[in-house]
Amino acid sequence: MTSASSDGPAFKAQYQAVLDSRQGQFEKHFVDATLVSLHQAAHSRLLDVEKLYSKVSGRREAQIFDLATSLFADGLCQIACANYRLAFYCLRSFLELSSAAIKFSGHELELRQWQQGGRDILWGALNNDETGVYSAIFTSAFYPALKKETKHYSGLAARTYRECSEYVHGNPKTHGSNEIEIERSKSWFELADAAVTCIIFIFFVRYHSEVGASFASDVDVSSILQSELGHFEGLTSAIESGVTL
Amino acid sequence: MTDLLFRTEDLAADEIRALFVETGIDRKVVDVLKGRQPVVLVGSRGVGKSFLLKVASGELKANFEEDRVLPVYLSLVKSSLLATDDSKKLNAWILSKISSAIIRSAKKFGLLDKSSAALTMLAGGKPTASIGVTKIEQLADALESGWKDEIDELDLTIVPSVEDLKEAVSELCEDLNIARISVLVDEAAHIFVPEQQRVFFTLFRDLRSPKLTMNAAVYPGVTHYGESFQPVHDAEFITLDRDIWSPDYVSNMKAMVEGQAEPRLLKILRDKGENFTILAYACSGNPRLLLKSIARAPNLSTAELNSAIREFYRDQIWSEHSQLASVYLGHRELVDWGRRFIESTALLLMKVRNDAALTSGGRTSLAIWVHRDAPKRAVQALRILQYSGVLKEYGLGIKASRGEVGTRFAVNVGCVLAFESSPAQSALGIVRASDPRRMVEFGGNHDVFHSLNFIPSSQEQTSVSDALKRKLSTSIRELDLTEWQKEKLEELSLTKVKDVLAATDGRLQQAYYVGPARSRQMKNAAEASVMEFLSG
Repeated sequence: MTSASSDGPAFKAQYQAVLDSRQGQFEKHFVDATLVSLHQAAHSRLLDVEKLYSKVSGRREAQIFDLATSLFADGLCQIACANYRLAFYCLRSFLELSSAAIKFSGHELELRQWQQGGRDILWGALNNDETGVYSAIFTSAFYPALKKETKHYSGLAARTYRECSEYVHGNPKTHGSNEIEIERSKSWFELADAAVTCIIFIFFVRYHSEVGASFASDVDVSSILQSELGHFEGLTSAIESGVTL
Repeated sequence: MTDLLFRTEDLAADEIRALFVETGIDRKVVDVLKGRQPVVLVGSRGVGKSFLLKVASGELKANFEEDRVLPVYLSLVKSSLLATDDSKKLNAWILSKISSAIIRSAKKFGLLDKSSAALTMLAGGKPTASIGVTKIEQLADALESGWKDEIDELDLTIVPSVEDLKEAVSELCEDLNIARISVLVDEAAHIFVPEQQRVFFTLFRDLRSPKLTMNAAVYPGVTHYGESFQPVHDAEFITLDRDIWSPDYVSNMKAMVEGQAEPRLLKILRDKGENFTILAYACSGNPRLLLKSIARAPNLSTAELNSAIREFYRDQIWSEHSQLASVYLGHRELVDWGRRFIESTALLLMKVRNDAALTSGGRTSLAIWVHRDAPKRAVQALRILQYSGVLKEYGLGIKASRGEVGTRFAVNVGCVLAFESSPAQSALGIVRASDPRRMVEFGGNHDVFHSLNFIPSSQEQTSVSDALKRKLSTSIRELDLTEWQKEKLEELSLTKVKDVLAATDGRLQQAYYVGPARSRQMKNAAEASVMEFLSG
């Protein structure tokens, strides 16, 4: 039987060693100029997403958005500590939960079933050509003018999910040294950017026709949307006016 | 209100496929455009070039999963806005447009979910995950702002070279499991900017590779192909020509109108079939002219028909032709001479001949023949007439009286009928008795050509930017828009062409006040109209 001292049980030291090792990686992460710049960009993307999600905070699905952003933040912490598997897991969950919240917003019955424990969130259903949020059918229903643009985001979301899953499932190529590997970190930031890109697109598609005026009246939200989607024909004025094309 | 759409630009992709009337020539053109052999499609305004490029693009898209041929449609109509004939800028601009269009198309097919060296090369720098505005697009936009006179120094080094572009395309095809990319370029060469023609066709030839098929639509009259491009070897030239003498001509033209017609118009088409037939012949195979003349004769009554033919083919078509003279000052004499030649000589001679033929039960004539030794300036003037749609080349190397060889041109039937006191009465007689072999002939030394000798050839040089500036300052009244659209623009003080170009989306939406989707369509129509006006 292990005896507990005032400093805690003896095996606590093993965990402390792990934490110290992570702390060491954390320090290294924040002195590498490339990683700092990527981290800063991802951090600011998280703030963007939080601003967007705040526009639908009164809705039933908002709690899922909250969980999704906190997982993204966890992912940022884990990537700074070179905890790659967890970082990719958090990123995948961010993508999955955000997509699910948006899908549920269009299918309230499913949302209620999920809340009552009677339904699971499955990626296959979220990125499905017929029923998913990245389908032309979903875009046609909520923002028809962007229907032709959907495929890019569907492909991007699928790749992001697949590559994150490789870490979740422990595929051989994801095995590493537990220390910072610049290329591995870069790939996380690249996928994080891709995930946010997908989410902003479908978030806009889903909610603009309902809360477009609220987007338009918020300078920050409006400028996020302009820089992300303003290149699409007609969207600059739709974002400015809040009127859906 | 029957709202017939005159322009392909106004139609959505799925509408285009629904409206496609598959005549023999159209099917052949679409099939060839989809193939490996590079094609240059030649046709005057409104004859349906853009439409067929889009049909080909739509069919390639529909079969993409099977054939893996990626269609890339782009229009170079904005070349007018560059206000330059500097070959370096034109070259950079065209390559930027092609690169951007490949990226846009691949993105729409969901193929660009991962960054790659090839994509970075085409985009002029690594694009964002959403592939927003790439550096190469920014450069193309900046070049297109040449008309604003506030253009900064541009970094043309980000534009891929021809070899880089081919290499990038090849890598992209390999990465994405694409068999090849088919580029369909609309409005490929500005008719009055020889340098653009040279630059474009040089690129057209140089870009050809197993993974890249170039196709282009041009107006008749493009003649400057640069040093390396050989028209016969480097592309198949197809003249888009709906032959009025083919047996199913009228039924095909009718099917094109029916595709867009509301029930009321369908009934009128049934009840007034003969009057429709006259308008169909008058348009000489040009769907846009047909739709426009129907808009002027919405009930197809005899009175409407007579005035539509007179107004449209005596005034409108010529006023469009003569506008060329007011903008491209260097071509003024040729443009004006061309009009005089047709109106005051060719059509009068034709009328005398046809009246006599109808009285004696002989064959009438709807064509002219010009000897191959006719002065070069006359040939140039005839090219401009083809561009305007007044003439259509209908056979090279045709033997006429005394075995002399020359070119036969079919004259726009509407222009012939506009000389009749009552086209409704005499039109079908003239057309049905016509024989393409009957031609009004003009020998190489015909008197009519003598006046051309007094035009100094130096005048034929035109400054692109001066021409552009004049066009930008013209009234929106000159644009090919409906009266209602023009009034709406004027209400917002958008009275000149440049005002429409510079107007923001929001301002134009305000003008139409019809909801964003509809106003978007109107804005596109206004812009397309501005662009076509600028392109000559």
